[in-house]
Amino acid sequence: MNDRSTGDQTAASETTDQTPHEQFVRRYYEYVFAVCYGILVNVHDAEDATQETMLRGLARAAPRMAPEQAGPWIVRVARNLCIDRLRRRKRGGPPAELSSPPSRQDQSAQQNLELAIQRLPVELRVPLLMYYFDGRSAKTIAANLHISHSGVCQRLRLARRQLHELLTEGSQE
Amino acid sequence: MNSECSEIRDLIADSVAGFLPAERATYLDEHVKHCDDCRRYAEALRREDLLLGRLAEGIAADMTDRKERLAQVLGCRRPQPTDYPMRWRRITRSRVTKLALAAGLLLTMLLGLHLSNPFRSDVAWADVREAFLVQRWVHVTYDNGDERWSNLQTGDHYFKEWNGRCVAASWAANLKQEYDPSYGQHISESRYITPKDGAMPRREPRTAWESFVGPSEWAAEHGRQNDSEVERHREQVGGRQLIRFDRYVHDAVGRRLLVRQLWADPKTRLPVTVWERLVLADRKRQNRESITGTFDFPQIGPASIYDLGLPQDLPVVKRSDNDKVAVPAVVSTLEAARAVRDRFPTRYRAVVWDNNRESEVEVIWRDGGKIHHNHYFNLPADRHPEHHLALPATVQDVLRWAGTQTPISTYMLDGEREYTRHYVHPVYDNSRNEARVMWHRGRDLLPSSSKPIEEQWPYVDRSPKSLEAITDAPEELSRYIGLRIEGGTVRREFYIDPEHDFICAHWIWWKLWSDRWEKEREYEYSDFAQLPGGQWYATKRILVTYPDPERGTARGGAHWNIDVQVLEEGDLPPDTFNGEKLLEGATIETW
Repeated sequence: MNDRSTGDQTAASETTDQTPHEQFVRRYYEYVFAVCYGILVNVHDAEDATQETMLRGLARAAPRMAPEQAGPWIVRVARNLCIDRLRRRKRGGPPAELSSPPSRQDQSAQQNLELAIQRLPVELRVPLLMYYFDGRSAKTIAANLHISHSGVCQRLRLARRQLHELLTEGSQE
Repeated sequence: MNSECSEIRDLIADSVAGFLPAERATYLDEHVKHCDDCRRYAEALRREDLLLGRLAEGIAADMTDRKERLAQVLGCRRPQPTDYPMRWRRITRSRVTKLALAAGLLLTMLLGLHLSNPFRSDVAWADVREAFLVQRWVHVTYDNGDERWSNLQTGDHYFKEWNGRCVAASWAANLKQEYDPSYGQHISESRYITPKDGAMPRREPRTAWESFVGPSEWAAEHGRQNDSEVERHREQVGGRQLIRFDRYVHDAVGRRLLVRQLWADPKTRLPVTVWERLVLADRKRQNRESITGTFDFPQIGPASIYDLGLPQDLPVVKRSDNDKVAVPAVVSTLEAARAVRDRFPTRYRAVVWDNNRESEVEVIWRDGGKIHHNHYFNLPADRHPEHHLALPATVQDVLRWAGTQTPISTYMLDGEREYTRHYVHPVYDNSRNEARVMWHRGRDLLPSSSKPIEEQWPYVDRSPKSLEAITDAPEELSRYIGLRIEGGTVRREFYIDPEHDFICAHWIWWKLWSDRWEKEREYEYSDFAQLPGGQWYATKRILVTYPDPERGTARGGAHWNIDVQVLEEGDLPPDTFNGEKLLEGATIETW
């Protein structure tokens, strides 16, 4: 049986039933997805980009890289790939659609939120989403984005403040 | 909001994230107690935090599924010792086209990389390739309005052209559907390809690179093929290091022309942009030199030809004779006709002229595969006596007259190249002092009238399956063998005279008008004469055209005389097939 819980372990065990590909996917999927979603702000696009990033990672033998190298490296691959896609989209592709229909009464609040996230600058959007997707740890974000711990805190602070402004734009405040 | 509040709001943001040190938290609490604005701000940020968390949770729930799917796809495919040879065999066996070779080559390359990869026991390139194949569509948008979709999984293609023409081709169904507004408001359906042994070759999914870049890559490595060659360059475009494939053709007058450029990204292994020089006919039709296409890779594409924007009620007419069986009588008629046609002399001079007041004259010299065809206009005596040929005329009169005239155009085939030369005519001064030269590649660009003899057997090269015997011929045609071919809105009937070398003595073109077939035109060949070798040919050809309300044409007709003289070697005038001479003084187009 595959031991799925090894996904968070940093060392690949030779005795586990998982191939290095599998381990690699399980370990980095969330980070990569958060980066992709952070840049593309569209679940389908992000899913697509994550998959492609994973494949590229595997093609480059990333599973055998040390985790402290592999994490930032795969995040960089994801980032470049998504920025490419954004450029392509800007060159006349269809505009990003809001996806993953939210439930019932939350609908408009969630839509507003997604729209506001889309309008945040990428450098704030990505750490903010990584925070929510990946265990709310500034340390992990810092390691994967290859920026300092205080840099992450500062970006998250700015992200929240700007997000709030975007959400309350036009209202009394 | 004072400056203290501004600082406090940073603390609020940090506290919501859980990053606020305890001593700062006390300070924050103190402020919020007394500042309503900041308290509201803190509440708002906590609400937003909750929403963000919920949004992420919702997305993450699906994400786990996707992650597991991908992990399993990759995880359950452990590299086996036999993995590559098996895949390799399967892939090489299943490829049939040139593309095949390209795809194979790509795989060899991957395999080569794989073998030199120190991690090869872990990284299965074939798996990676397979995983890349989850990509479904390649879509190219051209700046002239053309669009193209290719399904990498199924091999289906869709084209939408600037002029409204649409094509859908399905590999699995072996079906091509085509809508061409200039042919009428219907979709015609025919076979996509003619497979060997009747069975469609299996098609493996391909990556975008294999389908769109592979052929160029292959060509770049194999040097010049026929008259084209592909060069591989590196180019920095918008910060990306791309590979550019330049395709050159060596045209029929020895020039090297750049006709296509393809940019591909070796990092993403995707094609990026393509530039194509249009061929002559398209350059004139579209009034532009070239088109540029941009690639993108959507997850969905058209599902039918109607998705290209055609009205749902457009009818489909079948043109496929897939399931038909050839009638033995038809087969034997075709065989007999081919045999007599092949006995017809191939070195001759033919003159074709018609009996109308303003008419056309053709003088043709032929020696096997070489043809020289001059086309003249006979103009009315009252206005252009110097260009008038008095009718009726004998063949000698015609040749004498032609010797004094400038042709309107000359078509020439010298065995290797096809020439089309237009002259500046003293009356028809249309300034078209130009020539076109193309390599002759089996496809004939010559007008059919340049081969008057072939015109006598217009049915022999049709597929016997597509022809049926006519059993309800009208009385006056009952002495002939009748054959009929039909497809879409078009029907042709051939009435063949077995007593005169199976020449098609009567040829009727029918057209389908919404619910009934009507005659469009009718050719009649008569007054048969025999050449010294005993072969028959028709010395008269009559054409009747019927009114066409769509084009607003009235009933018309023409009446031609045909004269054929068999020649000996050396009887041909000098320079008959001299291309250089033909091109003198002309602007030359070659591609």
